[in-house]
Amino acid sequence: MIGKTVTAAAMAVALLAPVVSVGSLDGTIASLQDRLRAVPDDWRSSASLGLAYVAQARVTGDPSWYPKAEGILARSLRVNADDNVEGMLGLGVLDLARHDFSAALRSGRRAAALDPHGAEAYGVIGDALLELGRYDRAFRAFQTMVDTRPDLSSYARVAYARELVGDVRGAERAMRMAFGAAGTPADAAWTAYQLGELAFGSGDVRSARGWYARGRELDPSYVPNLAGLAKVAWARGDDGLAVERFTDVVSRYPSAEFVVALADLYRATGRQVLAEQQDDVVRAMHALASESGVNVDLELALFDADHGDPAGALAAARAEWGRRQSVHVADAYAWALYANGRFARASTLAERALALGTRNALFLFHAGMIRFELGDEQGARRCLSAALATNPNFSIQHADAAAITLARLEVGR
Amino acid sequence: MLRKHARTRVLAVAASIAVVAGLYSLAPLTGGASSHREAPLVSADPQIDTTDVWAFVSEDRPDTVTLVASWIPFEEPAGGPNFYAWGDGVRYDVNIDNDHDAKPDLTYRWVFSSRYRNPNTFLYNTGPVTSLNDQDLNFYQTYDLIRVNRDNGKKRTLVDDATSAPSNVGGASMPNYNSGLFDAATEEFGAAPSKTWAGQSDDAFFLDLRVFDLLYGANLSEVGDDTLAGFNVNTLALQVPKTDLAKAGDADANPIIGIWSTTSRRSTRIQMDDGSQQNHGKFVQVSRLGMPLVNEVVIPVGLKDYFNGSKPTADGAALPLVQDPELPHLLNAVYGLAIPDSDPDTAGIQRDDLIQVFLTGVPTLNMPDGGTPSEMIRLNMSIPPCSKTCSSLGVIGGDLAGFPNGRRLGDDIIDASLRAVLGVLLPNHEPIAETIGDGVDANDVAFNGTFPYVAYPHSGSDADPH
Repeated sequence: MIGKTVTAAAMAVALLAPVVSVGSLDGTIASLQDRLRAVPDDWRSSASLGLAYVAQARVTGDPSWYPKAEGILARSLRVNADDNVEGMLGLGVLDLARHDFSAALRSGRRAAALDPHGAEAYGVIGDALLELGRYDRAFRAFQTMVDTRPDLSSYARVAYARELVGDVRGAERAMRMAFGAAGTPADAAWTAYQLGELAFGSGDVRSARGWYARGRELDPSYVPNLAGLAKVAWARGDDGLAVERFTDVVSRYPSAEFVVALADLYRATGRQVLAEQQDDVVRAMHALASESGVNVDLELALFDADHGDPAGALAAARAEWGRRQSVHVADAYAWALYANGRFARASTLAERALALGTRNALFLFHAGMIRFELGDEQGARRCLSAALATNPNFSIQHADAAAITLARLEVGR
Repeated sequence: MLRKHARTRVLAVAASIAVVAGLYSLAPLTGGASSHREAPLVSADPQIDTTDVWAFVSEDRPDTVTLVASWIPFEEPAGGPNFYAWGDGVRYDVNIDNDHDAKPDLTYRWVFSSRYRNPNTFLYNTGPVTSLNDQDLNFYQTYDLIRVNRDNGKKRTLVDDATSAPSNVGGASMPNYNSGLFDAATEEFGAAPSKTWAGQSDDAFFLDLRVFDLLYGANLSEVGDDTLAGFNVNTLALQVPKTDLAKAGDADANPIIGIWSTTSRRSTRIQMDDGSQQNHGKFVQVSRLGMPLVNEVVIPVGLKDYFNGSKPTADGAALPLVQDPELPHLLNAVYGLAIPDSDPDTAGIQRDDLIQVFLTGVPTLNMPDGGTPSEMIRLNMSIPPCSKTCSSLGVIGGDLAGFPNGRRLGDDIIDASLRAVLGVLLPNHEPIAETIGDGVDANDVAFNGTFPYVAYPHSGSDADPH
């Protein structure tokens, strides 16, 4: 009976009344912190707080929340190391956010072993495998996830898997299922953005505009849809409106992706000084992320290759390729090699990037430019026209170069 | 707005897991089109979050049984501009086991489709709405009601393209909501006739979640507020002759039926073998609910995903959980109360009384002969609605027409369940077993006297619904 009593007392922690948190993330964090001051061993609450810190990093764009998340998740797992699914999933989410995909894979597998009926662990496992370039296994994890629990989270992953293998229509179908299963305006707005991106990425500016606008309507505070509308403005030739919107976006949510877009837009419209200011912002963001334990080598490789630091690009790409061989890393590595004039090796990597059949205009553009430098005019023509056929607005920086190079090839025919 | 199983959250036992779930679901802001894609890990999923199931002999039509089930907890009445919709294509099922083998013999299935009258706007309504087919009701949902004979798999469509009562967005947009939209949503079918209703209603469950503060010694003088007051849910209701539900159509010979709801959504294949992608994956059960509080009180947090996907035939494995539930041990640990035991002469804790309430039915009341133990609401349809003996405590209060013989909308589930768990059905129970309660003995608004019985939803123009 003593054993039973001890169990019950331990259970009392688990049975504590919930930390009710409807509303702001700040409020959630404050109430979880209060709870942990009162009951330091409440491992569920410390796991929750760890996730809240990861969420806070995303919402604020401030990666210094990640070390805090790491600390509190470690505390949760110290109190309960045996069957702490929440803590293990929290760790997996943190690993993914910091781009440590091997660690995420381990955390996800531990969580799945603890609770094979929960779909979340398969999401962590699949996300990690995907980024590690182990696509067959990743897709199997996603299939298990959606067969365990068909919902927005698993449908969205099915959509991404289909997109990667070049099935854009199938991806759109799955993402529409995700949209239909959205339970909150915020989730619906996220899904609308994904649908907008799918449409934009396949050159359908009109549909993209519809989805971004729908997402704005659903949750005006979800900034990426405004960035989508900024891209639409640029694609339609209204650079002024595009700058206005991107400026609004980055003032509200400093994501490197959108700052890069603003910089490119300034450069494309001849405002070199403003562009370089934004370039510096991107570099500062990468440095800050790196200091907080986020691996940004993939991002650095592409950015440096495009912004006059070929040596830095190649070092970052090589380092990342050593960790994982995904199509995205292959593409960045190829582009870094191109920037260093190593076209033959670049061509091999560019083929790797396209091996899944992904209809990604940027990949195709990179492959086309590499072939062009190698003197493979036919290959260059094929890749560049495929890039422009897939999405003529694939890059603020490069779309014109693709069209010009293709035109030169056609003239020289 | 950020929760996975909100009802579970209220019932404390699941505690902070819902908070965790909510945080996973925060849509990632990082776009990363060129690098890595982030998707929510767990999304809030109120569409398939079943809150409660009720089953009772209809007071005003005692030859019929009414089945009610609700989804989408915590609907704020002023939830616009995007109100509360059923999940398209989701299978909302109410299952009947009438031969006590823990397998469904009949399933009543509602399947919804969303429609916009004006495809150029996503507005809920484009002007005042006075009827279900009003052109100003821009967004609406229709459903088919299908009866599945689970023994032979045959399906019969009972109702085709019926309209669900919309969310009550407020007096200016829906001036005669109760009569024009809510009442009008009842569809009759069959000879008796049978009736079906779908739409938004008041959340019929009532409780003060702070009763659970007892578990860690809080001041109980604070209870007495209905935590769910002023919240709406989406509800399905069905009224059919007892003979439609009884085995072999004979409600006199086979009056006891088991009832539970399941909710299923379609999976999908990432890649088809032939390279073509189709959306026709299998349906996956993502929610299961029968008896109230089982999912919250009996099933441990770590088994909730398992339980929601499980079948009643597998419930034998849950026997130890019911046999020796956590709650009395907790009260023993915190307050030193004796742990109830239905058979002190046998080693370990024996709770035959709870096994009966949750898994087999109570002898001479709603326990069938030779039934397979399984978790579902059991209703003895031969017991008429109460007249003089009515008690919201049901059987504990001497009213055999109430919980746990079926469940009526007005049954005080929290008080009855807590008292049962603390051993009120056993001799020599602690005095607290006769008095424990949450101080909330009735719903915040009156139920309707006729089908679908649930109360009208709180209006979106109510400035202070709670």
